[in-house]
Amino acid sequence: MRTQLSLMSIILPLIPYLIVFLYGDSVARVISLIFMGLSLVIGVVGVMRGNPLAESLIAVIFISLASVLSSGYLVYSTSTYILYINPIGLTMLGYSIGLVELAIVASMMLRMYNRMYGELTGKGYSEDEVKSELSEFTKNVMGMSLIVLAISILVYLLVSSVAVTVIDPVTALVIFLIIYVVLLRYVVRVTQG
Amino acid sequence: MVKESSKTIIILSTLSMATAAVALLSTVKPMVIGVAFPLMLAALALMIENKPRVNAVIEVSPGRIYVNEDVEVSVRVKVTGGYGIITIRAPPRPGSTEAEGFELVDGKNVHIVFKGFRDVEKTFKYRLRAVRRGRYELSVLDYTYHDLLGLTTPIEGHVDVSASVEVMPRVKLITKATGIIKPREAFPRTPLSRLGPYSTEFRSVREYVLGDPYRFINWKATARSPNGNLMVNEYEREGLRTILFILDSGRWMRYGTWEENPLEYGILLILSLSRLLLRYNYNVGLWTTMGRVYPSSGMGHYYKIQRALMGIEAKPAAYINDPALRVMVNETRPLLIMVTSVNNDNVNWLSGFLRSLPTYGILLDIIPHSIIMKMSLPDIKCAKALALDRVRLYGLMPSRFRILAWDPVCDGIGPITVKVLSNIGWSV
Repeated sequence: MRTQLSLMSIILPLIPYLIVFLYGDSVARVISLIFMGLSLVIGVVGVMRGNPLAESLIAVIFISLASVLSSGYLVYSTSTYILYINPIGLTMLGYSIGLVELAIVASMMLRMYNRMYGELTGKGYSEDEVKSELSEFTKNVMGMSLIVLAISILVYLLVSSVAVTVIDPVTALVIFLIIYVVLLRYVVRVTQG
Repeated sequence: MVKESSKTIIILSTLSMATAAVALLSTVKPMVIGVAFPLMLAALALMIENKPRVNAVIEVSPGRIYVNEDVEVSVRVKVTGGYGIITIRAPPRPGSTEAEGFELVDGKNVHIVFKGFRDVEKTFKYRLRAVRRGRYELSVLDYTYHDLLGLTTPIEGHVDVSASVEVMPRVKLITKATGIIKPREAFPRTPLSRLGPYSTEFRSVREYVLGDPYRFINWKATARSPNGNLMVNEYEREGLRTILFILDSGRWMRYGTWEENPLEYGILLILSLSRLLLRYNYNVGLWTTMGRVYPSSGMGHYYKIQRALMGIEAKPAAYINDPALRVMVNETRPLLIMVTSVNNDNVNWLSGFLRSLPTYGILLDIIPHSIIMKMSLPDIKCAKALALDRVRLYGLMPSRFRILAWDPVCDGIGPITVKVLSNIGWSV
């Protein structure tokens, strides 16, 4: 399972770069190639060191920059494209963030797998048993994450099919922030309790 | 400082918030997926119950073994509730007496279990080899629970289980290995000490001691006594010769390793001699700080002695000071075999103790020098030269006791058994 997790952690974050490379202009292509190379190196080194989370986080930053610089309020207010990605590419880039986040989960699972494997085999646990149980655990979590991702896509499709006009973007952000703070308070309570 | 355990959830929620901000700025609608996915995952992780219930049953087979024999341990574990990884450590717990008394020879007593949405039931088997005699209780199963995504710090807990194992010392049977050994008389009915019903044969008048039958009180002698002490008649007893072992369990008996020390060798020797003496119809008794076995005969009595010796451990201040012992010695005048390890710490007590017992006997001094030497210099097998200083200590002992020194590394149990037997009147 470690190999699968490593591959997921390395390959999934490369998808946004490919999308930009395929649907972007020449500048976007060059930037995506540079980021892809950098990301790949960081990913491989991360896997070798047992923690490839950085590659996925760079991919999230790249998606964010590419999206913000090629569409939305910044482009609208400056009337200039810094990067050009065509609308299909932008939509696909939006979808790809789900896969990058899945890679983040895979990276966290790989880190947990490596940490527990080293710790437990060092304490005299059977290597085969540790491998088998950790693999079962990671398989289960990744399966659950895939289901959650599928549900998220369905939620998006549902939301996008219903036109909501009563909430402006700033109100939506405030509502989201409130939910975020409530959630964090709950997390802190759970972790401390 | 952010706790390691809450990092995961913070990463997920921060990711969700950052993606929401980007989605808002860029107006790329599918980015909602990137907002919803980490939030839903975090919510799911928080909703899952994070307190597992662990039940365990332990079985050992067989429940009674000899040193160097194996026992199979079977542990059935059932986990309900929770979602994550559970590490289990079945007994013996490191650092416990059980851990020192056994070694793992097959399988593992540490296991890892993944607990998904369904209940998990697993059975683990492993074999333990007993390295030291004793009564052991395999009693605690420890577990550590690591929840999904590491939201909380690992939960540590334990389950009380119970299975006991009796490890009996492996006794070397002395028969003909060192020549033919047998008592000089086929039925030793005449020697000094006996234990059995009182005969009518008068022996002497002495002071009353606790346990004397009232019918033996000699009122005339009591009236004549200058201090007004109660006097009793003493009669010869019928029966066989009585030998009483007294095992010292002071801290000096623990010098050496856990498995090899004067106490362990003393136990082996007592068992070996008891078996032989009981076979020839002697009355054999045992006195220790942790219990006593009154002299009796028959091979069934051997197991009583064995059971009494099983649980003996060396204690810092284990001095025998039992009035019942004096009564018994007074009554039966047994031949005493005091098993100890003479040293500067106990020599005064030992000397006084032996003087207080009005009978004859053997002082068996188990010398730990070679055992200790073997721990650091395994090539040197026997260090008899180190025991020379004991002559001074032996001089302090009452002359009624013959002193036999025994270095278990230099001489096996056979030669010392023969020495003891020849000193109690056997032909060797």
